[in-house]
Amino acid sequence: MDNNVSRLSGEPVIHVKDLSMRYDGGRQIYDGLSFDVPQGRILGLLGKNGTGKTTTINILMGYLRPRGGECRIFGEDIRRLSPATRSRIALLIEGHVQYSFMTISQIERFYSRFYPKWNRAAYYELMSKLKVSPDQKISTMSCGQRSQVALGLILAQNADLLVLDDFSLGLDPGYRRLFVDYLHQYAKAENKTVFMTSHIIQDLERLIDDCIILDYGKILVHKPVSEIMSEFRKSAPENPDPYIREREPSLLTLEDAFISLTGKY
Amino acid sequence: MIMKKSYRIFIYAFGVCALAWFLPWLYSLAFPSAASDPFVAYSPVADAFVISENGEVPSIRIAGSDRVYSKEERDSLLPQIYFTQLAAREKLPDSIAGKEVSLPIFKHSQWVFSSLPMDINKVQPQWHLMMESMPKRYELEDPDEAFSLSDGEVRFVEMAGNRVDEKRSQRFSKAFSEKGFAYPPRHFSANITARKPYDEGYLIVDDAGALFHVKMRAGTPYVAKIDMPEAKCAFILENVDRRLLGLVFDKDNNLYALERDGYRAVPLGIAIDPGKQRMAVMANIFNIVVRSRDNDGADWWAVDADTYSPLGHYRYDYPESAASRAAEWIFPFRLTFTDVDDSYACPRITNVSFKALALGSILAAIMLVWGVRRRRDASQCAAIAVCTLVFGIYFFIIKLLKV
Amino acid sequence: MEKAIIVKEWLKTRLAAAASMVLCLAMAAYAILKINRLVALKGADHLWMIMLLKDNTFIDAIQYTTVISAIIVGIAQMAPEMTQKRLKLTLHLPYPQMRMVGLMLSVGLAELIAIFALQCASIAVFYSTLIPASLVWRVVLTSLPWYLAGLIAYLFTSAVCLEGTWMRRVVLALLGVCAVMICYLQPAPEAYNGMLWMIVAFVFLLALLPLGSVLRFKEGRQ
Repeated sequence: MDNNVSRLSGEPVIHVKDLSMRYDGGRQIYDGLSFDVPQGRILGLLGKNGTGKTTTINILMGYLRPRGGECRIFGEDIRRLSPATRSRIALLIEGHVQYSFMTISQIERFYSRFYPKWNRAAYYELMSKLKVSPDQKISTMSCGQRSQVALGLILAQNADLLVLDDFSLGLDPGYRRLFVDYLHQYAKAENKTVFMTSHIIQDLERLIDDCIILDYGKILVHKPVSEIMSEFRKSAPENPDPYIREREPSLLTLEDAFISLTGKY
Repeated sequence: MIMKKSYRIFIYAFGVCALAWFLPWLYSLAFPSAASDPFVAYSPVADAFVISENGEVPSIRIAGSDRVYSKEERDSLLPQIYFTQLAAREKLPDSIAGKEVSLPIFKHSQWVFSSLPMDINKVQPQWHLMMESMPKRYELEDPDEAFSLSDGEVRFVEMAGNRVDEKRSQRFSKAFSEKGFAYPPRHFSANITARKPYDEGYLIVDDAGALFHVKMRAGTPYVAKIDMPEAKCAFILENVDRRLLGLVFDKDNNLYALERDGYRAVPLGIAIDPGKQRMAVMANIFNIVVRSRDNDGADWWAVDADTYSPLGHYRYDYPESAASRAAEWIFPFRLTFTDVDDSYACPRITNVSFKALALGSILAAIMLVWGVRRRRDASQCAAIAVCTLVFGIYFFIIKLLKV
Repeated sequence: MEKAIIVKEWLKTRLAAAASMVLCLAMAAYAILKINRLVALKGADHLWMIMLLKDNTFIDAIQYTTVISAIIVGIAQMAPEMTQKRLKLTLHLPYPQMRMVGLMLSVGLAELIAIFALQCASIAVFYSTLIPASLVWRVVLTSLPWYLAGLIAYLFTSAVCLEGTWMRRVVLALLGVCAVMICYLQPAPEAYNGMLWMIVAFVFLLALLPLGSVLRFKEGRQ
């Protein structure tokens, strides 16, 4: 199913219904989790450590079998994603894991064989900012440089859906902002769907359209960011936290809203 | 789904096989039950078998009698074996059972031979060494040529240069075809060593079961076809007394003594399967004692050394140890890949025991209860119980490991 | 895509494959030198006599190199896939997953078969100057179970590396030891002739193990 069909049919790119997950040890991650990610939207999945963000991505990508529920991406059951559908999903694994035994040019050549819409120029444009040789092995790079290579590969895939697990890990502030801006423009211009998690919430406010805030076992909020922020700012004067209460509402951030909803710890 | 099922079945099957191989081996290592034979010889004095046992209480007695003899008495009962002891004590008589005896006579007439099934049950090389039976300098020398009997011809190769000796090959091929040799051969026997008194070459059983005596004399072939019933295998003897050329088994496992002069094959009235039983022969001036062993026990037959007439038979059954009896209740079967009686590696299921079904059924019941408590579906519970019943402790352990 | 996968596997394993090849060829050279020394000191006919009478093939030195090489290649190929759960990247590629793992295994097996073939050929070529073809063939047949043991060791190493749980890793490793041991139980020449086809079939079946480990990884048993 291509983009147009998905848009015309109104079917969400990601469809999750009544998802429940419990590890073998017995800990319940969540029960009855449901959400949709429509075409062209950028959705951020936020939550404290251990609320199940990476678990959700693992389930969506077919690396974890849930206890129950239904998950579909581009209308396909995630347990049986076809290679054609996988080619429409760019996946960034937590830790920006890549084939570190390859060089910058080898890994580009490798991935280009699998993705029909491969954008070589986009990859090398990002790599040019790294000031590293194309023959440099990824394993010899710094953590931040490795992250940038992984992100370059994600963008070069030119996929319809980008799934980014903690994309900001290891990036310096300058590159983080550059990437956020680039990704936002790119996603909006190309009508891409993005499903992402991040620990650094201040970046997401500039990037995401919708936000899901997970608490232990349930969804606390699933709304557009603008809606969350306007409701939060309105209720700020009554907030029990003196820091929020005493601050100018227009200066309050998504991070403040997140902490207000989930608590400091 | 099919892949996952195949994976599980494979893991279970291989796990059961590995345990069926490993556990009984570990058990036999922990509880060894070695069976040893008594020493048995035939006394020309008592005209009966003398049995010497080295158990907890060593005993020497005559078969069928309870009287225990001393070592000195045994020396006199078995002079053909303990003649040096008797001579040292000056108790060696001039004659025994009507035969003149002396140290040289005893030494000249005694010989031993043994064969193991392992030496027969193996992949034999296609090449065999040929010694010169009539060396120029009278002393035997190590062979310098090897031959093969394949593709309907004899091929000799000079080993040092790995070159075919065409002339010798042709001469031997001609000699073999003149005697009606049927290729390929079934069995070869020779003693390739220069440390023997003389060389008699080979006894070869051809494809039709005919027995041939083959040797090389001054570089020329000597091939003789021996008249006897269809042979299975033959063993050459090169004893000092030069009386026997070999021991031969016919296709029904009957043992023959093959005399050197005239190639007379005399049946000894003894049946041994050399491919399955370990055989040992002790011969002396009075008698020839043939011993055969298998896993259950050992048999001794004695025949007269001159007439080959039977003198007696003695059977010794190995006692079954408590550990091996217990193993029958524990292990439903045993998987092995090697056997002491052959040089092949192949999987074989041995020691199948229906007694282990008792333990299997207890373990199956445990599995059934466990399955019901875990709310597994009935067909799955039943399959696990049946597998535990059949494969007993092996399957149970695999399940315990949650594989 | 297949070419890209093959290149990726080659990049991972080339050093390990080179080390394995050096090991195998060095031990083959050692065996050849030992035979050469025997021939120089006692003559080729002595070599024949020992081969025919004592059932010696003089290549014992190489027998475990195959297993060591296979373990080296297996670890070099599969351990990077499991470091930081990189297998997720591989399985996410738009290519049928089981075919992908099958192709990865084929690359490892092909490398090992090439190394083993080179080792076996070097010994066979040397021996063919000393003994007739049928005896060379006897030496080759005697060494074949060792090469198959190498392939078995590779597939078990792959399965252990790709497995996500420690318990199953231990079980697979123990089963692997058993399976490899089977190929070394009987030292007599050509003892495995009747069983070679079974071991070959077993090697094919063993491919199920790494695939099974990947299936378990996909179920979240990590």
